[in-house]
Amino acid sequence: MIYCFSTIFVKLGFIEELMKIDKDVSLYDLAEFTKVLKKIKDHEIIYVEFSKIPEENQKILKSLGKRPSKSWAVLDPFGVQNDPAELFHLGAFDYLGPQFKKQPVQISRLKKALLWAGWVKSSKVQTEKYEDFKLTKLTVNKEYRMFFLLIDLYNPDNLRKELGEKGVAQFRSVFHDFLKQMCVENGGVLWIQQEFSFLLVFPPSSVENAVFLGLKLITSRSLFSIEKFDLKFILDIRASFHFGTAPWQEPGKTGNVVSDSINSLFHLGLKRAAANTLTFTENCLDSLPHRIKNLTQQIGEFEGRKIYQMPIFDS
Amino acid sequence: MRIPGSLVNNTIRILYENLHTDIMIKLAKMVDEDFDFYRVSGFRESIPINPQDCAHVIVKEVIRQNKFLNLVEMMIMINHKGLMGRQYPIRNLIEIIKGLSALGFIYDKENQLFFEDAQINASKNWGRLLDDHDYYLALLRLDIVHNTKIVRAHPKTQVEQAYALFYEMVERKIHHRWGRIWSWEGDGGMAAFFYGHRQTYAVYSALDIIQSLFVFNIFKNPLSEPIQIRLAVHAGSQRYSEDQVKWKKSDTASYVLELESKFCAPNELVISEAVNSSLEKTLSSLFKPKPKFPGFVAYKLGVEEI
Repeated sequence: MIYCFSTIFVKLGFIEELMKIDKDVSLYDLAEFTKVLKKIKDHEIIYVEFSKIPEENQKILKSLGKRPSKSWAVLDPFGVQNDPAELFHLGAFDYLGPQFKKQPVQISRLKKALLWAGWVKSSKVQTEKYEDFKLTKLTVNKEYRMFFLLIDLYNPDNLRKELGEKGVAQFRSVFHDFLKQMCVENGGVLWIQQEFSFLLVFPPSSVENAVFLGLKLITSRSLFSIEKFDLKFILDIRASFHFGTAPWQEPGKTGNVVSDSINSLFHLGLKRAAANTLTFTENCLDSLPHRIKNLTQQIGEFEGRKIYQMPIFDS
Repeated sequence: MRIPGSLVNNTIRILYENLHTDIMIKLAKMVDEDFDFYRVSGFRESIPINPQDCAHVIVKEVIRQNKFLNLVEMMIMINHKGLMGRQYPIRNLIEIIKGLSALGFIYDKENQLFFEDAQINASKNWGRLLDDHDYYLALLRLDIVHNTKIVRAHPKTQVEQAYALFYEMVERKIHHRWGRIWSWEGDGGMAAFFYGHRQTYAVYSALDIIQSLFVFNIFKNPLSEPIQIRLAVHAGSQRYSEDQVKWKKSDTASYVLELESKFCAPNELVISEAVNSSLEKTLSSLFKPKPKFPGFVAYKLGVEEI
């Protein structure tokens, strides 16, 4: 869903252009901003128009600043924002200034920014069927519905303290290879690595294997830490799962992958998930093995999705 | 243990090509301290010993005593470290090691001993331990909790399937660390560890089993209730015997059985002081004192409520 709070841009055909990209657009008057904002989920997109009154614009910015990064954009028909770059620092994903009063905004221009923000067409998320596939036969740039598992090493400071920067780099490489092997054995692919976070993807038919891998990693982490990695402390690991979509790219060439699923899973896995347990978004729930599902409990919402968690495992 | 003729001949040749007769005899005495060349060979002491004959007599005798692996281990040792301050490099020693490897033996550098490769053969004595001899071993005792209740509450085929899958998991984790299952009665058993750092390997195996139990119960266990286990590890002098009744009488085996049955709670691993004191600090830190039983430490796979 895209929410648009505008009075000027709406008259310039902005909404029509936006609806060519996503039919699920709701238009509101600026006066309703504070009230409606409370209902907008974290993963939904907001376009808000600045008025000529700076104090009002500041209030709007203060509210938007609390939202997830790249979930909002500013329409500025009067050019009141002296430094548009400042908006991006606050978390905006786009800025449409007074020049668009003269020439209508192009659909490609809007789409580019939305994709950069990790936006996913609302209808696509809800209606696409679970098409199974083999990870060895994927088409580059084609969007697939996949089961994601984000493995995050929770205590990198311990690693740095014990191993030093050089040792940490070596350990990361060893851990990467270890995860890659586990992934292969369970029908998945280690897709993206960022610092101490590893994104694994599985086809829909391998959900059980993915959960098995995550659970094995968490429950056996003390043995892995000592026996396999020869560490002097026990790794704390977070495992977060999400069923979502992403355009396929070969591992190692994922720099330009834009996906709301991946963004929100990284947010969940790094900001909300607890260490030493498994965390699931509501999208996963129906696909989970019965015995796992029985052990999960809802712990709240995150970026508009209900979040479920298993008990925390001691080392 | 049957040694192929080609390996016997190679060993004889490598011995006489590399070592003088007096060193060969010293080597034989390292394998068997009672070794007497003249008695074994029947040669008179006044006749000089031919190197080929010397090597032949020694190799045949150690094979007769089932100590061929010991001889090769001594050859590896003097090749690396020499003997009485002198170096004795043994050329082509690798041919013998390759010959043993083809028979399914792997060399354990830590203990400087050969042992069976479990993927080829997994005999209870690793092809090495001799009946009625004492060895320093680590023993792992495993018991399935409430076995009788489980058997009564579920169909026989289901219980058999669950226990077979469980045994398969346990065996894999024990063989992975060079251990051997000495006994298995359906509701549990005993495993022994002789190679590598035996106490650590026994504890690694026990931890691996208990930590995998949760995953096993969710993904593999066909029963409607989770399997629970008790585990104990102890190390000490243990008599080896093919006869289960005999080896179970040893103090070490008796003690590990007592540890499991008296001091271990369900889903817990208790280790003896002898084992705990030999563990590296991080591994040892996983074990906490048992308040009810001062002096005992245990590991428990616990879950915290959300």
